[in-house]
Amino acid sequence: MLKRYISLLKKDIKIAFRNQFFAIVIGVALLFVGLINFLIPGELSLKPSVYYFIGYEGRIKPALEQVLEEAGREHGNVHRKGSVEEIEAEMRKDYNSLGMVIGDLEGKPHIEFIMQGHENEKVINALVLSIKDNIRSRMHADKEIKTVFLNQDQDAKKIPFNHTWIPVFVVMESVLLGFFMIAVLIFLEKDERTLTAYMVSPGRIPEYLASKITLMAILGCISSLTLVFLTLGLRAEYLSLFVFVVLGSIAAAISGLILASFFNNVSQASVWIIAFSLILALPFMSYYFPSFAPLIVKAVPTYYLLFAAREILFFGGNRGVLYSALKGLALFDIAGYLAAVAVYRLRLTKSQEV
Amino acid sequence: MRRIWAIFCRDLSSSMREFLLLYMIFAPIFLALLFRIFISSAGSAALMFAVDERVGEDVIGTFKKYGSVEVYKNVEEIKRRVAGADDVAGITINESGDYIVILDGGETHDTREIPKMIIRDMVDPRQLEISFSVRDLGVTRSPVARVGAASLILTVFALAGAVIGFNIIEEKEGKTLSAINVTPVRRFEFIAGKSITGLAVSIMIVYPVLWILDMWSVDKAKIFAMTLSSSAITILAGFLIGAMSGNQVEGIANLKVSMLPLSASVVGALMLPPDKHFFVSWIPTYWSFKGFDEIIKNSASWGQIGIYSAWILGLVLAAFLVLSKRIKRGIA
Repeated sequence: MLKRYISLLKKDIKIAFRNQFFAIVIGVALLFVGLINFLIPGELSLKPSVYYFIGYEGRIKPALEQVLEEAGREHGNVHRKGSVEEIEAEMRKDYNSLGMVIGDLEGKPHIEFIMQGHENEKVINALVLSIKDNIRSRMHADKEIKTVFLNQDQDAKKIPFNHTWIPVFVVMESVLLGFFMIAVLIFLEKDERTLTAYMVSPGRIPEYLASKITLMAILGCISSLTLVFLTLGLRAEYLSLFVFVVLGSIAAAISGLILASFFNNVSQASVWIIAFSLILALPFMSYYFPSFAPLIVKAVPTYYLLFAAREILFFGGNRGVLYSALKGLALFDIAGYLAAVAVYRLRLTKSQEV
Repeated sequence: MRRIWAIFCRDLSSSMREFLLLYMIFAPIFLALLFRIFISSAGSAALMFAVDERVGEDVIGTFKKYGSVEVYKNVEEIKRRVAGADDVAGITINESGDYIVILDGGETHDTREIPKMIIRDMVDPRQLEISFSVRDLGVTRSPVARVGAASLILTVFALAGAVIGFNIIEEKEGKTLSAINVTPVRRFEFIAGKSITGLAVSIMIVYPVLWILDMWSVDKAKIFAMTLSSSAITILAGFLIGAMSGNQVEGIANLKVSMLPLSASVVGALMLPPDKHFFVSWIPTYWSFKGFDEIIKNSASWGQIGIYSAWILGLVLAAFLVLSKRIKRGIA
């Protein structure tokens, strides 16, 4: 069995090599390396821009000015404007922005917030509260609130914006490439009736699928190692990365195999492969805005993989996230492999061809 | 014209026979329905708090004003929740009645700071003599909905392109192309005939997708114009995949590669600072994305649509010219 598996794997590697799979995987990884190292900025704020105008001339004007100027220095996206009209004009150009007009109401300062209109009430309440808190801390001594950190190490860590993309690429490219590529190997052999010929040999479905899955894991490892080594150097946890990419690639390849079994050719399958790829990309938003994690996003496996990859690459200290992901992947790999073997056996029995 | 129509009819009947057309129509509809649920979740996105039930109903109610609240029975449960992958701040109270914020350490600025601000606001008796009011500019469509809809529309073009490409590969593998080459059908007629299915599907799908995403109020004429010009991208992608690939394995590899500029143009348009947009503005989908995004925002003028369409058509034409020899060889 092992001998047959190795022979099949050698054959699959040859097919992949002839069809430029290795060149494409390395080329794409190098492209990402270029993007991360040279194009994507290290510092970038995804927070909305704030435009403000101070029309108030009363007693606490210096404190208000100080709060806003400090916010501008800290975040870089807080801008003073000369009038309410200017604020509104800027906001209409930049839909990820808000305005603040500080005026006078019955002799007391009044702050009018100008929102775009799509923000929900809770977000607006939090915004008003943060301004209130900033002004209060400027005018009175700040009241310290006791805070407990579960992972003290992570507290001081700030990941450059360009590096935050590495886990995204590792998951979306290195891990998921098997989902995309394995279907085509299956259809290629289907067209050439290789599987029918194979089935009259002593070879069996488990080793046939295992060799293709292994090829995808090899490609995943090449892609991730190229990407991570050329962006982070030796600063990553390579053993965990290897285990993660192998388990993840196996899971992605098994999913691709099962999906492919429902279709007759690549054209049919490609529609659904693209559609599912888009669904798998949904958690991308929660990765950048972690407080946004609705059930629909948490139901997509890449949600957990993205955070696990971040943990591996930046030593987050939250090992629970990593171990849960690895455990989940291992269980899926075992159950998925058995399911894939069963599906392919069933299809073969029904039609003598997958 | 008759020959173009014949190629189209042949394409259509083979697509119908293999359910391909049905899949092409159903897949974006399915994605749009799913995305509709996603958009409504995004609209209600706020901070998340894991609150100890011992803090009392009033405090829980206060936290609910600022985010979604999950109530837990003890500190251990809160710590387990905070240690999860998402951003959640834990809130508990000790024996002396002091509130404690529990954080994992890797949370974003707002998740770290807002809970402390809420507590300070509750316990600090010194109130500010400042009044606040809120108004808005009436832009009710969230950026997530806009960007999602525009990306979904681009996916429709990608799907149509993939189908054109794989149809060509199948014809190459079945030696039909060699047979066509000895008939009076000219190369232009072949390209035109092959493109109609993808083009028709794009136009047919874009409107139902917008309707499902609750964006029916957008300017439909501008959407039509943008769809028409963006269909050039579908044709380019389809012919590149078809011509560059000798078989389906190469086809899927080329499809994968061609999806990269598409993703890069969307991500670049959203995340790169404006002075670095030139890195992605050579990709036709960048202009298509900008066009659809601005139409959905209701901020696109006909002039802008014209400029964006000109960019798309110009870039697609340039790509066809640069790659014309390769495409000719590929479909010969």
